[in-house]
Amino acid sequence: MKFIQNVFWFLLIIIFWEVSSRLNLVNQYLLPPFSKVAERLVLELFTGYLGLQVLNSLKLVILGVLMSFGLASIIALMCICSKTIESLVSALCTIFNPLPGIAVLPLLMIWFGVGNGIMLALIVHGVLWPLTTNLLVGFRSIPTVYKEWAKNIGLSPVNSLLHVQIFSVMPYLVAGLRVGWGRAWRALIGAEMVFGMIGTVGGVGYYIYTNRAYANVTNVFSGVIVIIVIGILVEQAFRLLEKNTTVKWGMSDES
Amino acid sequence: MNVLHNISIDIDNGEFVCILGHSGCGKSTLLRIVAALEQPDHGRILVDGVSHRYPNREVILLGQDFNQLLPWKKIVNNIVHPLRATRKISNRKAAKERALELLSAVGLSGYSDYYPHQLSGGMKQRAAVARALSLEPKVLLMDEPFAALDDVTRKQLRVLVRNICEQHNVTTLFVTHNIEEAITLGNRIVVMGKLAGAMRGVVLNEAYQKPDEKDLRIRMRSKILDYLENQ
Repeated sequence: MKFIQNVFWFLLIIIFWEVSSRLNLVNQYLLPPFSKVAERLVLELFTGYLGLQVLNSLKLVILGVLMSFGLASIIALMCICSKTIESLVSALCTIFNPLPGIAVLPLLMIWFGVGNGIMLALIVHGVLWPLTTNLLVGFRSIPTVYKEWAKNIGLSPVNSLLHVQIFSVMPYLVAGLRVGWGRAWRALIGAEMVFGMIGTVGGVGYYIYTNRAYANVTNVFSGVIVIIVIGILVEQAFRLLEKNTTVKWGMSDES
Repeated sequence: MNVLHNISIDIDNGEFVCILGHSGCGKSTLLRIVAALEQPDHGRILVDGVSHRYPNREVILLGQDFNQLLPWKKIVNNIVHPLRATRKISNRKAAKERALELLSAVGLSGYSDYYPHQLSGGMKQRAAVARALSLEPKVLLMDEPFAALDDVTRKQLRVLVRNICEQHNVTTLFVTHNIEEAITLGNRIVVMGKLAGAMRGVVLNEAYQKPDEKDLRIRMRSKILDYLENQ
């Protein structure tokens, strides 16, 4: 139902866009009709430069999210083992969680120069802190009954972790990944634009930025639409994941 | 703080002993100590003459929390998993058969593929009983498992638990603050003091398994009340 409603509004907006541009209610150069953008989008995506740049960005963000996931898991494990580390990590999260990655970008550039390494650092910064924070909260809120059950039947701490506690943390894990991915994706696009000026690293942000320089508004729109579509698809993937895990288990509501 | 002291009781194999007391008298702490989930400052727990200091599947504790089943496992797997994890039954197929057997014994045959959140509170407690018994513990500890249920369900479950524990010949310690429940279930009833956290006395339940003998029940009741109120 919600899906149908969304499609309805999408279509309405697209029709409105198309008509206002075709009838010259707005300058066609500034707002090219949707049909033209769509045509260009397909062309650029499959035969032109855009497809390559999208892959570039996605590759980075997937790699970065995986790295952060591994790192956050290791940190969370260390926190379970030691209260001192937990207190340190929680302080670090408090400091770095509110810090937008793009704000430290100039510093990273001075330190490390320009390259894919910086982009990864930026993505990891975006994902790591919210994910770690969530995992810590998740582990702290595991219901005592589950832990005691594991203890009662004589499971070792490792087995208790693998078979009981990790599942219990699932809702927090998914929520953390969701927030983290959003931040990382935004930071990445932003950084690509910043680097667009230098022109060493590609990506969708870079693509949009250079096309602005060539005053190619249709291409700029293509890039923006790709970003929107990727955002929607990833959101759907998270929903699907939730639907088949935490929602199915009655541990969280459908979002 | 001194929660419990001077607790001493011998329980025979297959006995159903109720521990009765006001809330806050240390009943739950006592069960947790028996399960080795807490360590006592003094004294020890012997199971079959062997000191029970580390929790294991020989002594299983079942609480009143409806959400003690693992929500991410189907009902049947909530039973299969501990069976295999404790190496009680390693073979998956055999473990599943055993799980289904027990589910049918507690009246949940059709619900093996449901997730816990899809069941009512009473059904979840039935499943928890099945899960505990599947491990064939020497001692089953129940901490007011039906306290949060409605009256009708509670009465049904009392009968179920008494019968099933008898069938499986499992020694049971059942904590309750409800005198009727204690008289219905236990062949002996341990009465705890209000403040001191000590045993007031052990009553041999003459009304055990004689639900129709009202006079006997009333007599038992007044005997227990004497212990409860004379501090």
